[in-house]
Amino acid sequence: MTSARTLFMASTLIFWNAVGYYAVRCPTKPVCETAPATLPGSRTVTAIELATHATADDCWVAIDGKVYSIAPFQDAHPGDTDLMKKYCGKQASGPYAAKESGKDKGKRHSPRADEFLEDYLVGKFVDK
Amino acid sequence: MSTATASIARRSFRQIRLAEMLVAAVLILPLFWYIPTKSLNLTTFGAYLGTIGLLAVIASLMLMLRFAWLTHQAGGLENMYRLHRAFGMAAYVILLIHPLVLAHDLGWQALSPAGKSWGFIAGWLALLLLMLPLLFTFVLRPRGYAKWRNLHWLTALSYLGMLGHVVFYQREWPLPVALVVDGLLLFGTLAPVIRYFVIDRGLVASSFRVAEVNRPIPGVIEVRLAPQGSPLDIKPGQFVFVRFMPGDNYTGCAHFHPFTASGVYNDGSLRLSIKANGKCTEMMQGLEPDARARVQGPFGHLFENVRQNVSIWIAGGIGITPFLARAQMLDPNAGKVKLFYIVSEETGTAYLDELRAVAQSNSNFQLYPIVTHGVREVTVSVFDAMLPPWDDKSYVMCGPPGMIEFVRGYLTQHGVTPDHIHEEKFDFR
Repeated sequence: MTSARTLFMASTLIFWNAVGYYAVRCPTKPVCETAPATLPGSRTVTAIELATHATADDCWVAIDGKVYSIAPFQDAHPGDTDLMKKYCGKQASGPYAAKESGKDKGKRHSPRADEFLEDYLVGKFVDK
Repeated sequence: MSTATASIARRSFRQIRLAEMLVAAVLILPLFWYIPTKSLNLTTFGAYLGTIGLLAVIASLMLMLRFAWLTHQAGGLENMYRLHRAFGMAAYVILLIHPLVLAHDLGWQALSPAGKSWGFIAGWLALLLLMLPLLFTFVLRPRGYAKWRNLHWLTALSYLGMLGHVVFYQREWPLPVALVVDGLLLFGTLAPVIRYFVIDRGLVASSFRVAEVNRPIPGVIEVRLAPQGSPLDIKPGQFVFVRFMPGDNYTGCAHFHPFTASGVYNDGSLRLSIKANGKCTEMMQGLEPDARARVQGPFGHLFENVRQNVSIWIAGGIGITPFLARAQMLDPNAGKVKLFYIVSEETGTAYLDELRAVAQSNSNFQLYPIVTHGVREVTVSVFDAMLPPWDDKSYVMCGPPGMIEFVRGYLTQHGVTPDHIHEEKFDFR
């Protein structure tokens, strides 16, 4: 009876731990099969990968060594949206440091814009 | 091969055969429909595990049927209940792994009950309804056999969930497979129904009447039961399950209780010696002549494979009962028998006069009463002096589990092999 009790307790505990694992770490099969999730913004993006996100709906830009996915931000951008789209899939440190149009032309984007940008961070940029 | 060895081999083969046949059926049967009809992947393996878990549950349910012929096939009632527990536990573990394997292939969606069919929900309910009663069975163990048994019965609710789960998913199976599974499910459903309504209610049992009542020592009642129809084919040393029916002076006990026959007579009557060990057996102390009884059996094979020329019988307290019946039937020209009758107090030695009378009439029968006063070393010192040499003797024991464990350990220490030890404990359920 003691061995049955041990087997019951061990198997039940392992079962509920496994159920918890699949609920938290494995909500769908593809995610379950990848390596453990990385922290937001901690991955590396090469120039080649950056170039594959060059459309209005899938727009990544590299600014000061970081890559941002800014497609969701375009509608909220107060400046020239078409100008933004021109840099999708490319490095945009220059136009971010010196605006290319508007009354603040030539000026750097505001600290508030810096904060906004962090919400769209993808990872570090590697120029190769 | 000697006759004794052949006999032991035959019995062992019978026991193993039933267990192995069930294991083979549980493991192999589902392969016949999974291998040819489905692609072999992790999801298929998960479904296969679910099916063998279900079949193990059905095997466990079958092993709760206390029919004399079935217990004989299983090598005795104690062995059958051991198999019932083994299949039940194996089923539980396999049924826990079953959804996890599916989740490993399909992710959380294989486990999440959100927005799922009733068949899926039934599967989860089956698992939870199995888990909770087993928690009481193995971990929280309530006091008293009746409470334990009632809580254990709740596992039957889990089977209803399994039925729903399988009936829902079998729509995807080929018709012949579904029919086979339905037949097995029906069998699994009938097993607890038969146990509860037929066996436990005494529908399959022989009618007996209390012909005589004696009270040899305080706390022990001796009842002679006379058959009302055809007598049972019972041998000395075997036991029966008895339920005494309510009468004028006896309110009755709702369930069957196991008793070893302390006497078996030519007219088919039996003598039972009932010690007040619990609520039910305390009530039985008030039994009077003419009370009706339902009797199931016989069970047990305590002396079946005792072949050695010298037999050592070791009785603990009321565990003397199988030896009483056997001593009366001993052939004076057969092998030697030494009976060690262990009791904790002098007042517990019922039937000493009867046993002394046997010893006087049969020079091959020797009686050694041991009064321990609760000190085990007393038994050890008697055994040390009287038992050697240890070889070529049969050791037959009956008594409370603690005594059996202790004596078995003592004998094993002295090199006695398990095939020379025959035992019957009181605590099996």
